[in-house]
Amino acid sequence: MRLLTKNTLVLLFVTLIVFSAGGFIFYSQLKAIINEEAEEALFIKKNEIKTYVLKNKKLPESILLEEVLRFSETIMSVTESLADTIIYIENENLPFKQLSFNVELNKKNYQCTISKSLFEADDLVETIFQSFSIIIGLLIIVFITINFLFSKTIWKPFFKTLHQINEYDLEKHQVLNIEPIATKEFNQLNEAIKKMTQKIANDFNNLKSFTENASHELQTPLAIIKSKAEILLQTEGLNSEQAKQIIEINQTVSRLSKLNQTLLLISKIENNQFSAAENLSFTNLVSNKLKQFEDLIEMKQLKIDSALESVMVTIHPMLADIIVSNLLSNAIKYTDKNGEIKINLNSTCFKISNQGKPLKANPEKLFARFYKETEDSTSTGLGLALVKQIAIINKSNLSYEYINNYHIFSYYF
Amino acid sequence: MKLLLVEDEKSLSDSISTYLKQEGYLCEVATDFKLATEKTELYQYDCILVDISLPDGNGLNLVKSLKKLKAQAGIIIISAKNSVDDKVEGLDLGADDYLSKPFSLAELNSRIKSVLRRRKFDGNNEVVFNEITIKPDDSSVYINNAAVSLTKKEYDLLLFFVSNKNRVLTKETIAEHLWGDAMDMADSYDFIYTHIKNLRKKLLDKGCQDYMKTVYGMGYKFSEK
Repeated sequence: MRLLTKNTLVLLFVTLIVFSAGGFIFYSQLKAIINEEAEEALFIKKNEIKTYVLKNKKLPESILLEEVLRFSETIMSVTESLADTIIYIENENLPFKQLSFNVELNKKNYQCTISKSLFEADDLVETIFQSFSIIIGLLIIVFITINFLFSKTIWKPFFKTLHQINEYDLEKHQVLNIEPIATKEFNQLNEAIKKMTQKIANDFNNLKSFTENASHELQTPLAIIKSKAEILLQTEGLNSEQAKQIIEINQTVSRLSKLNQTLLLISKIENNQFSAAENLSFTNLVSNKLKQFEDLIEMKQLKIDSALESVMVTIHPMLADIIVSNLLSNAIKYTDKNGEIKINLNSTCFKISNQGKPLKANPEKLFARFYKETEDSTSTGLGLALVKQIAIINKSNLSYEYINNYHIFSYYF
Repeated sequence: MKLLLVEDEKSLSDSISTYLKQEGYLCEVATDFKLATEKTELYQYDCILVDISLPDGNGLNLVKSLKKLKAQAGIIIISAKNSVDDKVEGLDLGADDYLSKPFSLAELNSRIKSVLRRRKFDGNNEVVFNEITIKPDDSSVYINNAAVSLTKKEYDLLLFFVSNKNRVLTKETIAEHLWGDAMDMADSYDFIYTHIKNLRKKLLDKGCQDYMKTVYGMGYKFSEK
């Protein structure tokens, strides 16, 4: 619901309550005044009648304007009384104020009753209701018109801010700077947004430098271990068992370092630090990678069946490199000796299919971090996760299928 | 040859200088930015190895001031950061090479030799080992003055072996040198064997002695003995 509509509805509701209450009070007060007026009028009439009787020594004619006058002879003198009554006239019950008092004439007691017509309560309510409805209606029309006419101007800074927030790219980590404006509330909003984005930017930078520093700090001790192992390896008279241990230390250090670098890379990709895209030939990239992996392919005597169309893709060169490297090395790694790898490249998709046994686990796990299909110590379990992350960042799609003994990885640009 | 190693981590600088001294270099160590600046202003070095993150300054600034001094020394940056930006910045500032930690000492040694060869302006940058002569200018190799035709990989392999003669080189170190990071997903480094076998055959065919020795369980060693 729009704020304007909400506002109007609330106003309408409140106006209705206030005017109903107001109407009720107005009604009761009006009624009291009319009552009082009628009483006063009756007493004046009473005095007039008494004066007339004293002066003329006879009862007045019974028809007087507005009032009904009746005389009835009584034995005892009646006490004066004032009452509300209803008189049936012309098929209608009409409210009357009635005053009864005693008039003495020729030693006889007469009860004199004067009745004065009151306003009908229904009429009164109706009149009040009608006039109040007109006032409410007018108010609402005026309010809506003003709102409609001015809301655009008044809310303009708000919608400007809203637009800026919508455009705000969380991953660019900038501070959202909105020009100050005359409306206090909007200024407060803008200030709050500025502070918030400032905090986001700071937090991001802190986290970024922490991750990077932590990761770099790890590399130096690894370098020390690696260099010590290498010097140890040059020692004269090492037996093969000792050499094997040292080489394993060395390999583990390399693995740790690789793991560290890959994690850093994933965090950098997540933080969009590779946003500078270039238009590059994906075809050249794939052929270069195939050349780079030539030795591995030959060693396993794999058959490569590649159909590469000439394709240009706009992407960060390093990310493109990772996509091709990781998918290709994954295929090489998991294809048995003498197996076949098919590579297809067209303008929509880069597809690598390799022969192999079906997966042991759920295919969805394949892209999870640290997931390993085999107990292989040389694998970091991050290669495919990295490609998946790149696909997410580039709003591309990475899918996996298993059809006719082929594992198929498709990267849709 | 006089080298300056600027590295604040003592354990690492010990290893590096030990290794380089064995290679016959005179290796001085500066543990911080201030000391490194003093040394470079006072003495001449053939090659300077600079760590980027020093406790009292950025190694890149040292590269800048070296270039301002028009120092003839070759510069190799060694950094814990394996970042493309840092690499590009370092090389743009005039560094000759960039090596990210952790690196193998054999790799560092071969990079130093390569930088020193390029820095020699007298034109004589041939690498000679007994009957083997390597001319890096056109990547050609001669055995007893007879040219041997080698593939790019075989040439790189030979140069790496000669640069690290009498050292045990693990398959991993060799693979890293020849293929860079790309091969780290390989299950084994057996594919190196093919290249070594081919290189050995080509050299033996030209009457070269068999210097490439398999060290069982460890790797390979290029030596006369």
